[in-house]
Amino acid sequence: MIGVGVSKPIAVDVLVIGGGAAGAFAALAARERGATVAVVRRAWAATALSSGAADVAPDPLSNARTPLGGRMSVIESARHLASRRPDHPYAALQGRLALLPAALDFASRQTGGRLSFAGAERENHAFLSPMGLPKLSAGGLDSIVAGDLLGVSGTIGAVGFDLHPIVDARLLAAAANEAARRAGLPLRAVPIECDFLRRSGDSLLRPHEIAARIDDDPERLVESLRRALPIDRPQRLLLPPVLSRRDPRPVLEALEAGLGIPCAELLAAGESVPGVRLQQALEARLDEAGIELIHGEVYAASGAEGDATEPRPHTVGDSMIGIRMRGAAPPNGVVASDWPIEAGAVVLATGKFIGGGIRREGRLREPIFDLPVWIGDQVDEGSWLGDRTAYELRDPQPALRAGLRIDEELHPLLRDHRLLSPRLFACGDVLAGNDPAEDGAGIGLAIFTGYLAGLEAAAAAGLSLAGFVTAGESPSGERTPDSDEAEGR
Amino acid sequence: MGYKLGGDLYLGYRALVAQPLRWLFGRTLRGKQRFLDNYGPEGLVPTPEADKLMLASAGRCISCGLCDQLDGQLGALARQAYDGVSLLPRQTARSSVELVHARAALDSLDPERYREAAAVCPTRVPLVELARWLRDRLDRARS
Repeated sequence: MIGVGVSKPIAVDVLVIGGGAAGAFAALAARERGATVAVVRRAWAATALSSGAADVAPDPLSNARTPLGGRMSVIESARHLASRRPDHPYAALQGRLALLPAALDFASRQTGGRLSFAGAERENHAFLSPMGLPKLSAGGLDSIVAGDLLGVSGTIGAVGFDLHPIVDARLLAAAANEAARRAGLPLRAVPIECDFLRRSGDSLLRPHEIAARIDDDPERLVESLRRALPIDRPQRLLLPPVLSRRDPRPVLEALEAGLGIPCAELLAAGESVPGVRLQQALEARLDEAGIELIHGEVYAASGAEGDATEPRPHTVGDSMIGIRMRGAAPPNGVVASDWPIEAGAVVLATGKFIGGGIRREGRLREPIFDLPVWIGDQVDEGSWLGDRTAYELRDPQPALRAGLRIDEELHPLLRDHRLLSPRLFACGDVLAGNDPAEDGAGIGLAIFTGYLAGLEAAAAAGLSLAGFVTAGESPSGERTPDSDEAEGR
Repeated sequence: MGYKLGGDLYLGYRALVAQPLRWLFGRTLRGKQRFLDNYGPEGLVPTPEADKLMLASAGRCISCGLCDQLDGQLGALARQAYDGVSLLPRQTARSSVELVHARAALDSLDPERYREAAAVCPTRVPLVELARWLRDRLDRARS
């Protein structure tokens, strides 16, 4: 599903710009509150490239020498990240981290269990990467969560295809054994090389092509694995993350029925099949929920693409106006004319550099509303990016933390900390302060901030928020003295 | 000393006598034709402003591979001849010299079928237009 081209002016309660995990969950949260919602997105981006894990916050004591860290709960880890990094989105939302469990439950429910989490009050899972390193993560796609290293003891089979380089079973097993030893896990990995890919040219197949091959004939994979299994059978099999292009559950069921061994997928590396699966599952859910997914680009009428004499996007009555959209090479090939947008609230979920939410054009800029882009506690004014990056990949990379700064209600802030509009919200990777690789808050952050932004947007559009904890209230729903002040802003 | 004097005299003769006579009476090729005579056999063709814009668009590719996942024509040719639509911005567009290697793909694949792949490209590489342009550039390189 690529989305429809724009064919008429858009008038909705909530407009979500960006169709990755943050945008999808913002749209679904607003829709659940009864809002009419449209999602406009111009392409796939970081969600479709994700490994299949949904990181919320890393255990602060986890490292290569002590892979399991201090075994803090997910929410404790998020609070720790907020206290250690005042520029992180969790720090801005510190008072609302109590809603993290609700957000994760919401994501799991909305995806019909395709996204599965340990629970915010429990420790992170440990998944195995294709390089054999354990990765701590709160959850992910169910086919990957089934491979949680903390939920198994004894022997695990590290499966590869004997003539294809996607996973080298021997290297994977050796690395997994070393990681298990350091982590003190009662595990032993054994390599299992199956002959599923033996036709001429199979060694050049791309991951999604292998997935299509398995979709076509899962029984052949079962037979291939049956031949490859050692006499001393492992307690669990971890397979390359290519079990299906759409839904790996039928393939996993066939494997488990045919082999009698629980099976799961490894995390994905480049050319992620699970990432595309997640993207497509989210889009299917948007469709089911009655949310229109529009393929196009949004721009401000006063921006570089519009009429310079127009005022910046602003609120008139109950709507935010001054933004427009045009078709972005829609899939039917017809270039649509552009249309005005009228929305009760707008959620910006455009991602960072890959998604196009932050661009470098002399300086770093947010291209739709021209909001200031922050790196640390400074607005970027066109500094040389070499000053914002570190030579060693393992060192912090401030440039990758560039983004929008928000207040506790997820309104993006202007340079002087005022709001552009009380009806504009931001969520996901466009927010400043988070580098998914360094900070370990990836799709989990998108889910949490997307969920909150969707509810805030629904509230701004005048819809009921019964049961929802807004900024200025305690998690129990009691009003605090700051509430009226916050509303009066 | 003698060699230097001889060399200087020869260069002076070339500059003051031979070259002006060649300009006046000889067959001289200038500009584009001269470029084509020199480099055309190697597959290099001139790059006008419109071509530069297309090359800049192709340069936006970040090799994420998402387009290949929606390339319905992957597998239509031998893998050695065509490894997915991302090959066009990543390799084929880099130099017209490379075009001859992509001839089989450009001749047999339909650019219109890249629309779905183009619609998911995070950096908006115009894959349909790029494929058409590469065909045109290949024709120019052939002629």
